[in-house]
Amino acid sequence: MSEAALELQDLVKNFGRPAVDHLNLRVRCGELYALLGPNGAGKTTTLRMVAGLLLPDSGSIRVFGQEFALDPAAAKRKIAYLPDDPMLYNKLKPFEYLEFVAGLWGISAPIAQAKAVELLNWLDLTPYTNELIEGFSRGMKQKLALAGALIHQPELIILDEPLTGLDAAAARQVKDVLLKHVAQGGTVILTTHILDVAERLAERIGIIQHGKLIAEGTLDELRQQTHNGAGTLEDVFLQLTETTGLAA
Amino acid sequence: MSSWLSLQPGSAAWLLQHECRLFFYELGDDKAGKQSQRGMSKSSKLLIVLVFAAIHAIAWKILSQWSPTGGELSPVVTMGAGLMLIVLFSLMLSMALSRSVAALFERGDLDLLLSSPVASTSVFAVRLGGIAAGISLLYLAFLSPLAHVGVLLGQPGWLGIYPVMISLAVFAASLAMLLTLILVRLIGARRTRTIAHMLSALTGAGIFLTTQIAAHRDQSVSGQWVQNWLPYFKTGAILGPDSLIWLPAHALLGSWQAGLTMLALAAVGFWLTTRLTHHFFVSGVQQAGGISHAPAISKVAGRHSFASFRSGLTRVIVIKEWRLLLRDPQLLSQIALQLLYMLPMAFVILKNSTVLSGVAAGLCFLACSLSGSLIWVIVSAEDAPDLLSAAPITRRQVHMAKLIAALLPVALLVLPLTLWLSIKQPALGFLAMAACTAGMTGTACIHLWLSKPGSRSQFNRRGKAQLVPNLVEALNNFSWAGMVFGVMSSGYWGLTGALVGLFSIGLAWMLRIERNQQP
Repeated sequence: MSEAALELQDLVKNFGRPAVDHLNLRVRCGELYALLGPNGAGKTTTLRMVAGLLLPDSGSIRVFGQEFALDPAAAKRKIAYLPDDPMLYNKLKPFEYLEFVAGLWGISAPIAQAKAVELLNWLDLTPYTNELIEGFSRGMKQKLALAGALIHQPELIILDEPLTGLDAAAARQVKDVLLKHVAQGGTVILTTHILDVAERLAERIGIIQHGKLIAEGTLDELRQQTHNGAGTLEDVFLQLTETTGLAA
Repeated sequence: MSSWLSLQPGSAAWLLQHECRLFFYELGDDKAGKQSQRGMSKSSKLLIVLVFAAIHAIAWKILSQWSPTGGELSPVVTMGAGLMLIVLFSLMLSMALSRSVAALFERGDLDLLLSSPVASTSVFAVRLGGIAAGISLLYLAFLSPLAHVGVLLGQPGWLGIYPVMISLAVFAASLAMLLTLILVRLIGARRTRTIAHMLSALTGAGIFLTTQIAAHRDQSVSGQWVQNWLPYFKTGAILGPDSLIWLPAHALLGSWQAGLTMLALAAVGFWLTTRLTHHFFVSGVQQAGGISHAPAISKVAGRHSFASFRSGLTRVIVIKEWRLLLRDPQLLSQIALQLLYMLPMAFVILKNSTVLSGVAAGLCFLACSLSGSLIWVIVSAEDAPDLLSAAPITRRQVHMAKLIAALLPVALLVLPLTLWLSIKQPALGFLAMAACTAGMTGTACIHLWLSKPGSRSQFNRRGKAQLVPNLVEALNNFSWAGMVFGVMSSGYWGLTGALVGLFSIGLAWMLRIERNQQP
C-alpha cells in the first residue's frame, strides 16, 4: 500500500449534533480523490478540520504520516485549502495578494515573484494585475485564489466546491490545474455537487452521509457495491445515499 | 413575523419592524465555536443599564444646582443653547452622511427589497427612518437623563430634549440622504463613497476646527470680527433672540409650542424627502450595485504591478494592512477626522511656551482612540481569517504583526509631540509619553480580548455591534488621559486615573470572548 497523503481516524466533530461521526478515511499520495455527499453530510467540516480551521472533538488527522495536532505548522506547510468562497482581500491587487500569501507560507521573495508571474499568466489574469480584486468576477476571484493556493507549491490541495459559479472556460482551467498537479505527483481532494466532474476527474470517490463514510472506491467498485453495472456516478450516488438515508 | 404584533406584510410598518428586529439581532455577541447569539448578552445589557444610571446621577448633580428652563430666559442662555445645538447638528449630519452611504452601498439587502413587490417609497422611508432613529437614539441615550431627572426635580421643560433630538436627527438624516443622492447623480456611485465619507469627517470636525482657528487668531482680529457680527444678534435683528433660527433652542429650553413646531417641520421634511427623492434613491442603489463589476483591462500594455515581492511574515502583514487602510475611503475619513482633532493640539504644543496639561491629556486620549480604531480595523476586521488560520503560522505571530501595523503610525505621530513636550516641560512630557504607551497598550489588550471578528464594511456599525469593547475602550482612554491631567493638577491623586485604566484592562480580561479554537 502506498503512503497516505491524508489519513483520518475516528474523526469526530459535533455542533450540537454530530457533523462528523467517527470518520475514517485514507487518501493515497498522488491521487485525485472526490469526497461526495448530500448537503449537510459533513464534507466541509471534514475539510476545514484537515486545513486546520476547526479543532476536532476527537480522532486523529495525519498529513503525509505526520500527526496534525503535534505540529500543525508543519502539516499546514504541505496543504493548500481553497473553499468555495475565495479567501481574498478586495482592496488588494493580484500581485499584492500573492506576495502576502507567499509571505504567510514563508516563501522567499524571488521564488514567489517568479511563481506569481507564471501563475497569473497561466490563469489569464495578467491583464488585470493593476485592478483591485473587488472588481473581479467570481471566476476571476476563484482563479486568483487558486493561484494563491499554488504559489507555495503544496503537496496536498484541498478544494471545497471549486467549480461553483465558474463558466466553462474557467472550469476547464481549474480542472486542468488539478490534473497537472496530480500528474506531477501531487494529491488533490475535492468536494463537488457536479457528479460528472467527479466521475471524469477522480481516481477514487468517497461518499459521506451523516458524517460517516458510507462507500468508497473507484467508480467500478462503487457500481459493484450497488449492483448497478452500467450506472453513472449519479445513479450510484443516489442509490447509496437514499438507501443509507432511509436506514438512518 | 412576531406573534405579538402582526402587521400587514409588505407595509412600511412591517418593514420597519423587520429593520428594528435586525438592529437588535446584530447587537448579539457571537462567540466562535458556539451557536450564534441573537440580541445583546446579559452582561452587555447590565453594562448599558449601569452607564445609563451613571448618566442619570450626573444629570441629577447638574440640575439640582442649575435650572435654566421655565420662566423668562436670558437671550444669552437661548443663544448658547442654540449654538450648542448647531454643534450637535453638525455631528448628527456627519453621522447621517456615513449612514446614508452605508444604506446605499453597504447593506446587501436592498436588491432583495427592491426586487420585491414592496413599494420603493416604503423601502426608502424605512431606510431613512432607520438612519434618523439610530442617530436620535444615540443622542437621547446621553441627553434624555436630563429630561427624566428634570421631571423629578420639577423642571419639566427639559422634556423638550425629546422633540429637539428627534427632529434634528430627522433633518440631519434627510439632508445627508439628499446630499448623498445628489453626489451619486453628479459624480457617480464610486466617487460618492469617497467624497461622502470625507464630507462626513469634515462636517464633524468643521465646527471644532472653526473654533480652534478663532481661538488662535490675533486678538485684535477676533475683536473686530465680534464687533462686526454683534449687531446681527441684537433684539429685533435677523439673528436676534426672537429669530426663528433659535426655535430649536426654545424647544430645548422648555417651550412646548416650539417643540411641536420642530416635530411638525421634521415630519414635513421627512415626507418631502421620501416622496420627492425615492426615484433617485432607486437609481442610486442601481448604480451602487454596478460598482464592483466589470474590471477594466489595464489601458497601458505592459504596465502591470510587477513591484518586487518582499519577504518576512511581519513585513508582508504590515504592508498588506497599510495597503488595505490606504485604499478604504471610509476608514481613511474616520482616521483623518481623528487627525484633524489632533492638529490644534499639536499647534498649541508647538506654539505656546506654557503648555496646558489639558492639551497633553487630550493628546493622550486621541492617541488611544486612534489606536483603538486602527486596532479594530486591523485585528478584528480581518477579511480572510481562514487564510491566516490555514497558513503555517501561529495566531500570536499574526497578532504581533497586526499590532505593529496598527500602533506604529500612531506612535510615529505622537512621539515627536511628546518628545517636544519633554524638552519644554519634562515632567508633563514623560507623563504624557507613559500615559500614551499605557493607554495604547490597554486599547490593544481590550480589542484582542473583547472585539468580535468582523469585516471592514462593518466599521460604521461597530459602535452598536461592539458596544462592550467600545465602552471599555472609552473608559481606558479617559482614564489614562485623566491621569495626565490629574497628576499635573492634583498631584498623586491623579494616579487614580492609572488605577481606573488598569481596572478597564482587567475588566476586558474578565469579559474576554472565546476565540475560535484552532489547532
